[in-house]
Amino acid sequence: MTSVITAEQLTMRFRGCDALRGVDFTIEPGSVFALLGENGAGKTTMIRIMTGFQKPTSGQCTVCGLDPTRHPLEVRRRVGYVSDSPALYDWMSVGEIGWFTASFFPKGFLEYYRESIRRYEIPEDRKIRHLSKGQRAKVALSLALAHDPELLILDEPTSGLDPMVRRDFLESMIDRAASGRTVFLSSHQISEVERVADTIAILHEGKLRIVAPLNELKQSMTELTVSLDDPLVAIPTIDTPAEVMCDELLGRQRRLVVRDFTPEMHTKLASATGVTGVSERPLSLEEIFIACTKGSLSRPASAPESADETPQETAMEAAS
Amino acid sequence: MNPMSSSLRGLAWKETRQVVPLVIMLLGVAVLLFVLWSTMSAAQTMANFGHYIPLVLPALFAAGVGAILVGQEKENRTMDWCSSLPISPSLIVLVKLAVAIIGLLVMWVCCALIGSLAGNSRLPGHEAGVANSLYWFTHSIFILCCGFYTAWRMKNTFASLIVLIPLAALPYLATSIYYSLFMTGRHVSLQESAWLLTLASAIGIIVMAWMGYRAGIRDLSPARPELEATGPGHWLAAWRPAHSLPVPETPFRYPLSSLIWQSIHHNRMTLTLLILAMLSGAFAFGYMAVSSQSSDEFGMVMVCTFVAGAIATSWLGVFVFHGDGSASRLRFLADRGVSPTRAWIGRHLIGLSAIAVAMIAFLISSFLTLRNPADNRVDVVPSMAMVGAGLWVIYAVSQATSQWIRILAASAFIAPILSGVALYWLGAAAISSNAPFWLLAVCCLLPMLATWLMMRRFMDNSAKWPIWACGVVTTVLFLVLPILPFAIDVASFPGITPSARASLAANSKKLSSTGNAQPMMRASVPLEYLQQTQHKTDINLTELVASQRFLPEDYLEIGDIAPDDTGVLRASNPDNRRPLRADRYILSRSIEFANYFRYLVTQNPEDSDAVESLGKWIDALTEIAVRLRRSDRWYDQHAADNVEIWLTQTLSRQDLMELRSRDFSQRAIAVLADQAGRSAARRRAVLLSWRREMDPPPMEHDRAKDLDMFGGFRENDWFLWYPQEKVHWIQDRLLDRLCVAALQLIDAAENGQDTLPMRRELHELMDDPSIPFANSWYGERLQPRGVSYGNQFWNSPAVRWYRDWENQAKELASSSESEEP
Repeated sequence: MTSVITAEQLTMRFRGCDALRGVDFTIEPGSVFALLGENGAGKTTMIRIMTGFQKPTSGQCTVCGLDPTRHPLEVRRRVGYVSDSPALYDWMSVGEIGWFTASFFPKGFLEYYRESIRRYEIPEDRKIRHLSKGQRAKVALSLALAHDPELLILDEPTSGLDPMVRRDFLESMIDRAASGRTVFLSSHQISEVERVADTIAILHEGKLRIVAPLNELKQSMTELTVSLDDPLVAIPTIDTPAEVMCDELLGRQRRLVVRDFTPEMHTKLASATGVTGVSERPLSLEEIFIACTKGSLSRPASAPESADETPQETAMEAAS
Repeated sequence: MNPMSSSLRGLAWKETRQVVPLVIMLLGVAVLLFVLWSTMSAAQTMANFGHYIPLVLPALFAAGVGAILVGQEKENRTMDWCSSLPISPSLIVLVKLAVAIIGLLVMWVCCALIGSLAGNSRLPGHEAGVANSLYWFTHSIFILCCGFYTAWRMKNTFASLIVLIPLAALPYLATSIYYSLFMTGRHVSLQESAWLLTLASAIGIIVMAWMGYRAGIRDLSPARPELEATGPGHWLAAWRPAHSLPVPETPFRYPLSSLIWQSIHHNRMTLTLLILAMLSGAFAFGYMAVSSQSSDEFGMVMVCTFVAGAIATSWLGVFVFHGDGSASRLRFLADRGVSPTRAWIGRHLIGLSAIAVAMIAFLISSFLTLRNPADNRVDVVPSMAMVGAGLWVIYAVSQATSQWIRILAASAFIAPILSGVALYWLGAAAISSNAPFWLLAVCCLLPMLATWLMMRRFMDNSAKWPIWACGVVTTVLFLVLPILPFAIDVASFPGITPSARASLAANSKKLSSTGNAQPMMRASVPLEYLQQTQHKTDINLTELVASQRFLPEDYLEIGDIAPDDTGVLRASNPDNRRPLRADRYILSRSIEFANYFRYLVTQNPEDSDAVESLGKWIDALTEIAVRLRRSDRWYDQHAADNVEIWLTQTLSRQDLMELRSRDFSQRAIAVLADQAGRSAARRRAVLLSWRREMDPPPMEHDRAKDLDMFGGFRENDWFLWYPQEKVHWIQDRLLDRLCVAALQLIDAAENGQDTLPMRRELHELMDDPSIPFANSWYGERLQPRGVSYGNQFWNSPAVRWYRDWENQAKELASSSESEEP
């Protein structure tokens, strides 16, 4: 099966920062692919490269079998894209922007768009500037979906949508995937992603920490709580293929997030000297995301404890 | 439908819709300019500068359309959305350019229409013919291409507009270099110069259009990784300045300080350029205002610097509510509870400080220029306060424009025009309408007050219509307030009653014109010619005078008046005498010659040649008086009075009693005795002069207005004690009152009533209010008794009517009758 998106060693450097550092992944048709990452992780840069707005510093990317930097128009014809804050022509009416956009796509675009707008109950004669944020998002989604694209790329798609529309929208994403179309979405709404995504990728500081099917990912991630006699006791090393995503010491307990943890490892760990007990717990996607990006599941220890302490004093202390 | 044509149609529709607001705004500005100009009745100004107004339309469109179609789309990020659609970059770039060029053509058509409506469809430099029109056209396309290039090339629309100014001057620069290299010491005709400029602009169009196209394609294509050539690894990286200056470690104590910091750091380069240009302009103005020395090149540089400074001041005002001062950015401050007043002050402090520094620059410049003893000085030097007020008006109007018009490209070009008009309006109100200083000061504050009042709405980015409504109210107040006292004064100025006016109109319609008057012609005077052309010592005046005959036939050439067999000037057909149009100079000269012979006769009454010559002059002047009385023009009656006074005084002289029995004297006395005919001629002339003024014949309309004549009098010499603009509005009422007073004077005199009240009214109308009636020409004491040559007399209508000389004429006629039997 031909991959809809492939990325090989994608690197993107800007002045003062490396947005992407050797990103590799492939997306198969008929799936909902979710790209997670904290702010500034490189998600939007990734999308800009995929949609042909940005040439990567190095590496290769194909979308629908095409190089977006060489064939941006063909890619845009076959892809539907909604950015996180779509800048629509606010002097156009809802109907006009559909008519305008339809002139760049094959027949059938306008009918589908009108149908979608009607479903969202947005009057066609209303100016874009008079729409609410959510209504604008709906118009942008309708424009992106009206030509029934092979691949739908969404950057924070549900921001601004009310819960009802959000639910309908997410269900429609599942339907699209079921009909063989592909959806690539970047989002912070992990609970929503968890509901619709087939594959999850977590991007952290320009590197892909994890790319895996959702169920597989959730099954492979385990939180271990190891009780110790003494906090200074060393526990046995967790061997490959298992991977420790985070490791922290809380009194006489060590908490680890481990990927691909096996029962054999559990036995080995439980029988180690100084270990009084080992418990396992499956993790939610949110916890996995936090573990991958922050390296800790605990609350930050550096939060100011005293309300009287001013930010300046904190900053001065940090500086000293 | 073909997908290509479908895309084309969609794009063309979008671009056209985006251009329409600019077109409407420019047409609005043109209409405003014409309305103001016509309101101010500045016919001369219109004649001098009117042809620049239609030119403003294509020029501003060409300069602003790039910023609207490209810069604005980039700033609003709609370009990003548009380029996410499957449209080829070249199609986007070309459609934008094509729509802009079509729009420019439309603006040229509007320009031609407005020019023809204003009655002046000639472009500046029209002497160069077709080449000139072609030059303006090609240069406007060149500016358009430059605007597109800068808009595609630069991220900041404001900066792209600033860069456009030097680019627009490139054809001039290129031709100047060409002249200095290849055409030194050779005269270049206007036409040749226009063709060269056209050629330079045409080459510029090709280059800039190609560069603009490349810049557009580059901008719409996938962005290149910027570090390939410019990253930290690049050798230049170590030399580049940091992106931003280090932030102070502690926050500012006062919020205003932070706002000023933001104003400075938001766009340091643009701000620096604007302030430098403003200071240079003030410095140049300091030199220009004080020194009258102007070498061509240096003077031109100074003028250009001054104009650039004025535009920079305006753009500093525009800068207030764009960029970080735009509604969307100020929302950041509004969300954080910053008060609108504080934000407003913060946005203005930099601009106002720059104005203060510019005033000091002007002071230093004028001081340095004054210190140079070799420099010639002009008489009137503007004060520092006046310069400050001018800068304030430009700045205040521009900042208000930028709040009302949120499209940067539109406000950046409309603001300098509006501020220029506002400055002219206030200046005209001060000079022509005597607007009080405090009212002008209020008007200067109005635009600032308007933006301050609307600051909350602007910051909250709420509905725009209250801001526009405030703009309309402010504009109306700004236009109305300075002329309000003047308008009240004008409205309350007394005129005549409608019934009196109707009566005037009815009486004047009963009369028929005697046709065009015959102008007086003068033969050359050899004596004057010699005096003008030769050195005085070369002329033997005694011989010259002796060789002159000084007779009417030698000096007068008045249509059908020709010397008869006896040498006397007579009309060829006395029954069909054409009216005569007075010429003050010829009349004065004729009377001087007649005086010369009168002197000879009084010295030697036996000198028959002198008597004969005097007789010829008396006959000529009698004929002139009769013909002047037949004229429709009041002025000619005035001139006839002067001639008849001379005849009366000459024939009444005791030492010339001997001549009364002579034919020429009898002919003159017969004319002088006709009091009823004189009154009828005066009444007729007054009524017809009034009719011609109020309802000029179509063919003469332009001529009458150009010459500013009322019944032959120069209106410009009347009512000088009123402000110039006021005269324009009250002139009809003054003329109505003048005619009514003159007619009442005639009626009273004919009925033997006292004429004093009418002369008082005439004095009030025609004399400076500081002159008391007793000291005026209309009074009894100073009534003109002899022939007058002074301006005061010639500008005072009816001043000699029914005065002592007419009684003297009556006595002369009656004594002549009694002598005859």
